[in-house]
Amino acid sequence: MIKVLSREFIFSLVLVSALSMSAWAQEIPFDPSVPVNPNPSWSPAPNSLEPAPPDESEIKSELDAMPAATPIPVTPATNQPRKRAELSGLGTLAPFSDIAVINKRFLPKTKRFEFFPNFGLVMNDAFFNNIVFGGRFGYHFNEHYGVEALATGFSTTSKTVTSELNSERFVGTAALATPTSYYGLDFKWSPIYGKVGFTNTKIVPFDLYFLLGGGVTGTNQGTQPPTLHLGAGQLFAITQWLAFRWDISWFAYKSDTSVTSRPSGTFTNLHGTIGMSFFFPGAKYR
Amino acid sequence: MKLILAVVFAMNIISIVARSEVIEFPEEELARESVTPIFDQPEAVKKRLSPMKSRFELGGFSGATLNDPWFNSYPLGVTLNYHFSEMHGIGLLGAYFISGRTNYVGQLQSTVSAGNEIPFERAPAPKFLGLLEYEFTPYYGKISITKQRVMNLTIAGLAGVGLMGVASNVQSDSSVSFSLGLSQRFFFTRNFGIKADIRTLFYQQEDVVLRTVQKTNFVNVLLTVGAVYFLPSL
Repeated sequence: MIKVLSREFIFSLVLVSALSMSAWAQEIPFDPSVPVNPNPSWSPAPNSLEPAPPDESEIKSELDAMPAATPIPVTPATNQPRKRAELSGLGTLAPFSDIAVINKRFLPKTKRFEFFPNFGLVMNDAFFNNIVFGGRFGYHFNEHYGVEALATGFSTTSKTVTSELNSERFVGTAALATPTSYYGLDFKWSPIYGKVGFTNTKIVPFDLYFLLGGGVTGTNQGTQPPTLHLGAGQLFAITQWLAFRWDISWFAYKSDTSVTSRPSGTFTNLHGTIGMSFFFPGAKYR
Repeated sequence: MKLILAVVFAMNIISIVARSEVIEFPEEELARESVTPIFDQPEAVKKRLSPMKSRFELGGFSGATLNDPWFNSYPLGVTLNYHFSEMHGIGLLGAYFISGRTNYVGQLQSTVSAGNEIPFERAPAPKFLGLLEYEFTPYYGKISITKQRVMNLTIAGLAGVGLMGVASNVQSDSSVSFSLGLSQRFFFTRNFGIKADIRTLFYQQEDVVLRTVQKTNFVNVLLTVGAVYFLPSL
């Protein structure tokens, strides 16, 4: 009885061992130095159900029956010098004529309109505080060129020196022309495109542009002289349709004054403005 | 028989121990489908071509004041900055001003009788400026100019305190000055670049328009353009 049990016990142990060993993860020995043969020679296992290899003469007859194909040029074994010559020619290649060093415009402008409501101040007026508020509406022919219409209004107050000239010295400042409005049209050129990291946590694409144009300035003298406008600014993209924009613009005009002793003069204004630019229609490309 | 039993038993034990186990992770630690991991401290610019950290910056500049009613003033100055990090730095600025009277003075004196009563000889013009400035540079980036070349640039905010010296034909004076400004650098090389600054200066000077001349607060805008060089060279 014991013998029978022990045999059964041993048999069961062996069985369990065999089953459990088969569950082991197995490492497949692989020698990297031995190349893998993509076309291993066919060697049927004994008693295999696979069909027997076709006869060589059979294959030959099938190949003869196929239509003649274009012969594949066979590179001779002595092609090393030729290869070397081909590689040496790489040094004489011409550089690419059109390389974009900064790829992917996040905020494309081509064939899009831009609306830029803005406010700011005149930075070079010694006698008046001029708050600037306005709107610009532009169209971009492509990423570099566009046109922009401007409409600007001013809220003007006297500076301390102007008030003091009036109150302390009874000197009026009527001869000093100051703008009350400006309407104009600009050519916009955006030659510089870039990306900046904001506090090293976020990439902000931006454009640097220049403006050249003209228009009409309304003045406190009741005149509307033609005006030259030069400007430059930067456009920081927030989304594909929204951007923060700042602009420095220089306006020059010659205006008559109401003072007979100083009938006319040339006036320049430097405007600094900021605002948000809205682009439309929506961009489906970049 | 006992030996065989012992070997088989040992093999069993070993094989059981080697079996794979199911490890359960907490739900919140498992990656979720279609969710991009959010890094705590993302680094937008990995390697800066023109680094500023732990470097000195020497500069020279010129420019103009924009809204002084009686004087057109043109500064010539130098700067020495030290950048603790890519974003924070301090600097010293020293400038000497060359000033000339604006056309308004002549017009007032020639066209208005009361204009001659204003003591313009006492009108102060900027003479020198010394500032200790803190510079915060949140923006560093690159721009493409010709599509085949990139330049690096920085945009910074400036805040400073110092001394503004003014002088007239009669006397010299000085007052504490505060400044707030914006600055942009464009790097041509890793060490050399140009810099454009606009500062609003707040200081006190004599107001000659008042019947009783006295010091009043004055706000001036200073626009400067210059060149900078970073040390040690890279």
